[in-house]
Amino acid sequence: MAREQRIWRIRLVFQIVSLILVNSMIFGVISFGESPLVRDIYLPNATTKFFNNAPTHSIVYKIQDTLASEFDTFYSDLVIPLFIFLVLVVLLGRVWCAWLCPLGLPQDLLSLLRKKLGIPAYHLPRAAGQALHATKYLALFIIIFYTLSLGIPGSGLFEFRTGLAIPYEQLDPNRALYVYPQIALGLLPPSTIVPWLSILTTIFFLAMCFKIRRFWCYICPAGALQGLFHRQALFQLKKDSSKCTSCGVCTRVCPMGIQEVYSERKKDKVTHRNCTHCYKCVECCPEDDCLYVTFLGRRFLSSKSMEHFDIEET
Amino acid sequence: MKLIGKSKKGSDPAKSIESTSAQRARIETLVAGRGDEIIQRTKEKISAELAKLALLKNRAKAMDYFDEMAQIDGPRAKEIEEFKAKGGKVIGTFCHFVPLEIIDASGCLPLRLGCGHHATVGVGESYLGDPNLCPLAKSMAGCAIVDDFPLYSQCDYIIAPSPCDAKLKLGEALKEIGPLLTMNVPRVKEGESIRKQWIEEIKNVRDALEKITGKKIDKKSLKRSIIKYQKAHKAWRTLLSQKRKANVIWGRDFLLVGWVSFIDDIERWTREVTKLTKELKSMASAGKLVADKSTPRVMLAGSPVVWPNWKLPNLLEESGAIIVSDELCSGTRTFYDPVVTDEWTERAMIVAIAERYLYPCTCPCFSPNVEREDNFIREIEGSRAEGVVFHVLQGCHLHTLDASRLSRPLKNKGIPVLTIRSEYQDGDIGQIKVRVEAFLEMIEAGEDSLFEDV
Repeated sequence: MAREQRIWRIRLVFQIVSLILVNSMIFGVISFGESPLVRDIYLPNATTKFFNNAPTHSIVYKIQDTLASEFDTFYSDLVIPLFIFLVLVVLLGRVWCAWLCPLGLPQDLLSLLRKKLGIPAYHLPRAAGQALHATKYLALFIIIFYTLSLGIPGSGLFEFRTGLAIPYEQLDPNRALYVYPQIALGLLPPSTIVPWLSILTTIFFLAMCFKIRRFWCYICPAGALQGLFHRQALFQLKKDSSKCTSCGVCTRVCPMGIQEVYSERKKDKVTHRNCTHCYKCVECCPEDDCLYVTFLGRRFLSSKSMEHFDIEET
Repeated sequence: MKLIGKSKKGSDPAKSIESTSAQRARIETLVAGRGDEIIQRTKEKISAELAKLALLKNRAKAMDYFDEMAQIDGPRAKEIEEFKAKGGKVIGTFCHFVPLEIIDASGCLPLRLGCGHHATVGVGESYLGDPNLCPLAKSMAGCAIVDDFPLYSQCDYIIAPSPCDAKLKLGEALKEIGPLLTMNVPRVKEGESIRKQWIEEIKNVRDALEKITGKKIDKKSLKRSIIKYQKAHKAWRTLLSQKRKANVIWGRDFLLVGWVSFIDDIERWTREVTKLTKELKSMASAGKLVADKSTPRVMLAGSPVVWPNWKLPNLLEESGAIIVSDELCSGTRTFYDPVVTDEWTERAMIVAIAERYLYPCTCPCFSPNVEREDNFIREIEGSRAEGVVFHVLQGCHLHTLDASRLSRPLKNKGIPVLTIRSEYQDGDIGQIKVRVEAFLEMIEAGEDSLFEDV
């Protein structure tokens, strides 16, 4: 296998399998969702609730739902799901984003299509990328602030609870991308409402992600939520600075525009809060064992020089 | 005097201070009919060096090919002539900053001009007019003005990066002789503006080449060339790893292999390097070493050591050491870094090429230069070198300054360092020999205290 393809092919398989099984969207086992064993598991990555009985929902959905409606119970419903969320993030970090997210797959497929068509990607300028990365934290803050004030009886927003209780649902491309196919496949009744705003964001999503690699990951509030705990996860991206030739390949191929992996020269831990663990840098780094990934301190993936691979023929 | 390139479109005589005829007259007086003699002396020097190499112990058979290519008027010169007869263009390059992939993609032939011919230093010095300039630049200028100098006279166009003053002004001087493109090499690598500027510089090269050939460089040929050079990189790295495993190749032979890549057809060179690596591997497993394990291991650093200026490598290896590694842009660094791109669009490829030639470069012209410092440590640890010899060409300020800057931390780490300042001429051989021998004795005496794992 050519060097450039060794990681993303495996990742593609993971993404497809997780789309089918973990996120349980297209072939969701509807009745399974009633089981008390999985009732409190909310996925850290997906940002929507795909259908009522799905075994797994998204934590962002759950937070909005609980904050808007359970002021009187002191949001006690959130305790266990948040605890499970923390465990899941510490376990996998943002591996959720690049390997298991239902929105990651279409983004990667769009990039693949763009590459096949020979259209160059648009690289966000550093400042624009930083601003977008900040947007996702702002989005998360607004979502929490809004839903929190919805749930408080004296806030004056109490009446909106019936109209616009879960604001992010209105925008999420997941909604239009995955709920419509389910209706088409007959998995959901045709009466399921898909907000028209999310169709608009989906068109925006498709257009932007075609030209900019992993555009949605810059602004995704679920990513922001994970980013808060991500650097403490068991999965870590590490760098052996003594092997680095400063060639800058890691920065150029990074879909999230992270420069810190390149500029770090002292510490070996280079996991950045914006890193989605796609390991594109590990795949492309031309030095042996310069970049590597550890799980619980054990190295399981390292960069390899071209010495070890067949070079692609044209 | 015959001009380097037949086409005079690139340089505008009206713009230069001196008229073309006046320059011709000046060059004629400088060379004063000694052209043939200079070429003859150069050829003799090459044959003498090759004869020395042929006597080396346990030399790999695959080196025969590189010996053949090392003759500047040998089979390669004929091949280039044939290539030119078919309408191909030959592009001379000054140094390591010229994007070879783009030259190759344009269908032209890159020819690296950096040279170690001592016979041309004198005329070159008079032509450039500065006795304090480095002999490499003088020698190149000399080769360029001597009529019918092998390889040099075949260049249609020169791409001249300007990492140092010598190369910058050499380019300016040669502009009077033939068409030439100067590349502005930034001295600082940091920042987005530098990156953009350098990408534009690479695009300039592409545009100039497109103008010369009258053909657009398309995506397909660019991709093919990148892959071609990736293969050369792979072969080179495999040879490097093999070299590090056991003493199976002399440093001089290795440097010669590197030099041949300057002028050779890169695909054939890749095949020959692979063949050589295979032979070295079987030699290593058969225990047929060129030098036994107790031989002092030396790393060569500093100014480029270019064929046939084998003075310092000869002195080192004849005095009982083996050059196990180097950080010369004429040696290990030639194909050390690959062009890596994850997308094959035109823009992505150009950016990838630009970044490969700038960011990992360890030329002392940069500041800050963490890349060079790290590369030293990597080379010393990877090759288990016991001492570092800085080769500093007289007049090369950047390498002189970096040699003293880097000597201190290396000495603090317990690695012996020797700085040899020298020219191309053989006058100082005796003096250098004494210093090299004393240095090697020091290494042999203090062997145990330097590295635990040797």
